[in-house]
Amino acid sequence: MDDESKYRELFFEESDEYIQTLNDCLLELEKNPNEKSIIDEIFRAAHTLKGMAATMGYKTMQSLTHHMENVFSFVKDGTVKVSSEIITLLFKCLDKLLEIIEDLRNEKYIEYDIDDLLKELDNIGKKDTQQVKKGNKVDLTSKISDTDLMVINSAIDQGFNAYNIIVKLSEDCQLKGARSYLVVNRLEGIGEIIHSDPAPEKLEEGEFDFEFRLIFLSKQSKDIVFEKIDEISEIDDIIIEEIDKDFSAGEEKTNNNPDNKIKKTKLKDLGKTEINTHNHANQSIRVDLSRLDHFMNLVSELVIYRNRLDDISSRFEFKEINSTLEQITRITSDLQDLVLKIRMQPVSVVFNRFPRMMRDLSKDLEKEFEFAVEGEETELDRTVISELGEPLVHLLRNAADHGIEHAEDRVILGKPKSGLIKLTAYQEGNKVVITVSDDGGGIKSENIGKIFDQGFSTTKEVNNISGRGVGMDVVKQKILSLGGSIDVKSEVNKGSIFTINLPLTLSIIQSLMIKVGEEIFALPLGIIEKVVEIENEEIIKSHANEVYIYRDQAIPVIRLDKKLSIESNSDEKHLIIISLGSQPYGLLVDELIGQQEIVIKKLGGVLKNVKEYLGATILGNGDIILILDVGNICAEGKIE
Amino acid sequence: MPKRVLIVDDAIFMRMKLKDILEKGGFEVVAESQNGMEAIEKYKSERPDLVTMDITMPEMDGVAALKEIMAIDPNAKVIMCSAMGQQSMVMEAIQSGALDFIVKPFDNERVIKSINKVIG
Repeated sequence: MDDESKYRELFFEESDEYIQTLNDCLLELEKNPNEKSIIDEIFRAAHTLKGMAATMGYKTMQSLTHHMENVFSFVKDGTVKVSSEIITLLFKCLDKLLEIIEDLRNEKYIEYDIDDLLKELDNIGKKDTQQVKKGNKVDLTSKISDTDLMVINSAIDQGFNAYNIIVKLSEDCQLKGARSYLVVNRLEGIGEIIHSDPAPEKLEEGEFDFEFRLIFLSKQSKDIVFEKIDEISEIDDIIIEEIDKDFSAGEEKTNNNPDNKIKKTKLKDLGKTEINTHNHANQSIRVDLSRLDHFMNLVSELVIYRNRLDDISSRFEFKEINSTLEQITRITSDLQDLVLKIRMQPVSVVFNRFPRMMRDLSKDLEKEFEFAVEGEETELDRTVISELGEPLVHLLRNAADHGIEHAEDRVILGKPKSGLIKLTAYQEGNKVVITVSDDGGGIKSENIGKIFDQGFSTTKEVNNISGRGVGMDVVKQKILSLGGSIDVKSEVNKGSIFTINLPLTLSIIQSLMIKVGEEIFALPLGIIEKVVEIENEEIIKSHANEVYIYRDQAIPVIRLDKKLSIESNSDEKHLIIISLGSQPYGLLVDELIGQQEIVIKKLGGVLKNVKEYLGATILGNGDIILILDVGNICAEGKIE
Repeated sequence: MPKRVLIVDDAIFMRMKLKDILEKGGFEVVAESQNGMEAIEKYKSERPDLVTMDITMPEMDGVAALKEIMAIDPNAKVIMCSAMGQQSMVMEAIQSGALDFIVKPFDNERVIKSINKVIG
C-alpha cells in the first residue's frame, strides 16, 4: 500500500476548492437553471471529488459524491429539471460532505448515516437508474446460425480466415462494456466481426459475465489476431479457434502468456522542434504558511536593522555609506511591500460562503431579499481575513433577521417587496473598508448608541439566528483587536449601514511615538484623528470623569500616566484624539516624538495577557518600545 | 532508457498519485498537464512515449484532446483515465484511437500492467 499521508494535505486543499466550486455553481444554477457551462462545471467538480475520495479510500465521501454526480448527470442530459428542492437537497449533501471532510481532516473516522441522503438523491433520477440485469450467461455452445455459415463460407472462398474467438475479461475488470468495445474496435481494424454473443448492444452495455464470443473474419493469421487482443489489459484469457470450411474446427487454446510478445511500433523521434509552450495564466505554487510567516519575520528584522543603520549613520555622519544606505532602504521597503503582497488574500475567501448562508437565511426566515457582494477582489492580510468571518456572519444575520422586514410589511411601507442586503469591500489608503448595508427597518436613534453594548438586544424573541444580545459587542471587540474600527449609521424604515475599517496588514504599521514621563510608547497612527496641545484648564471634571470638549462633544479624557502608573511632572500636555467607531476619546500624553514605521513583535509568555499593549517594537537605536493597545485602554477608560 | 510519460489530469492530487505509481513502475514522467489544451502543447514539445489522459477536465476535455493529439501524431499512444459511469466517453475515446483505459480509483498493479501492454 502507498503511504497516503503525504497526499492528505493536497487532498484537503483541493477538496476545499472543489467544494467551493460546487457551492458557487449551485447558487448560480438556481438562478440560471439551464446554463450549460455551469452544469458542466458542477459535474466536473463532483466527478473529480469522487475520484479523489475513491483514491484516498474515503468510502462514504465517495458514495455521496457518486450519487450527487448521478443527479448532475441527469441534469446535464436534461432528464431532470433543476428545481429549488433539488438545489436544497444538494446543499444538504454539500454540508454533509463538508462535515465528512472536516472530520477526515481532523483524523476522525466516523460512520456516517447518509442513507437518507442517498435515497433522496436516487429518487431524483429514479426512472433513469440503469437496470443491469445480472446472470446473462453467455452460451458458448450456441450454434452458428445458417446465415452466418453462408457468410463464413463465401469469406473463406475469398481467402479470409474465420475465427471463433472467446475473450475472458479479468474478474475485477471495471467498465466491461468499454473493455469489450476496445477488443471489438481493435479487431475491426484488421477484419470484420460478423457475430457476437451477447449481441453488440448488450456487449457495449457490459451485460455479460466475463466472457464474450465473437465470430471474426480476417486475412490476418491467428497469431496476429491474438496479438491484437493481447495488447489490451485486464484480459485473463483469449481462445481463438480457426473455423474450417467443414467446421471441424481445429481447436487450439492459447493462454495469455507473456511469451507472446507484442511487436512494438517505434514512435518516430520527431525531436523537440516545436516552440516551447507559452506560460499559462495561473502559474502558482503552494507554500506552507509557517514559511511565509518566517519570511515575514525575517523581513521585519531587516527593517529593524535598516532603521538602526539609519540611526547610526545620522549620528556619526558617515557620508560614504549614505548612498548605499539609501539603496538598502529602497530594497527593504520593496521587500516589505512584496512580503505584504504575498500575505494578501482577496476577501472573497471569506465572502464566498455568504451567498449560500444568505440563501438559507432567506428560506428560514421566510423573507425575500437579494444579497449583493461588491469588491470581493479587495485584498487583506490573511491573518485579518481569517478573523473576519465571524463578525461578518453576525452583521449579515442581523441584517436579514432584524433589518429586512417581511414582504407584506415592506409593501405597506411602499418599499420594493424584496429587500436588499449588500456587502462591499474596497481599499482606501492603507485601510480596507467593508460595509454591510440593508434597506430594512433601520435602528431607532435611541438604540444606535447602545448597539455595541454588551447584552443589548432589540428583539424580545430569541431565535437561532440572532437576538440574544450577545454579538454586537463581540463583533466590535473582534474588529478592535484586528486594529480596526466599526461604525453604524441608520435611518428608521430606510435601513442601516455598518462600516468596518481595517488595516491592510497587522505586522508593519505607521505609528506615532509619544512620551509619558520618561517612557516612550508607540501608538498606531491609523486610529488617531487629531492631536491637540491643551492647557490643564481645558480638561473639565464631569462627575468622576474628566472630559474635553471636542467639536461640541464632551469626550472622555484618559491620562496615560495614571493609566500606566508612570510618574510625570510635565506641564505641557498633548491630547491625542482617538476615534474608535462613533466615540472619540482623548489620550493625555506628555510629549510627541514623531511618526515612524514600526514592526509589531507579539509579546510572548506572561506578557501576552497584558491588555494595554499590542506588542513591542525595536527602534533604530536598539531600544525596545511598547505599542499601546488603544482600543483596550479606551474601552477600560470608559467604564472608570 | 525509461519510457517517457505525459500525465494529464485536472486534479493535482490525481497527478501526484499517478506519477508516484508510474515512477515506482520504472517510467519517467516528463510532463504534467491540467487540461486538454495544455496536454496538446506538452505533447508537441515533449513527444512522450505515452499519455495518460483524464476524461473530465476544464478548458478541453480528454476526448477532445485525444482527437487533437491523434491528428498531430497518428502513432500517439494514449491511455484514458476514466471513472465508473463514463462508458460512453471511453468508447468515444477508443473510437478516436485511445489504446486502453484505466478506471479510477487507480490500482497500482493494474495501471502498470495496462501501460506495459501498450508500450511494453
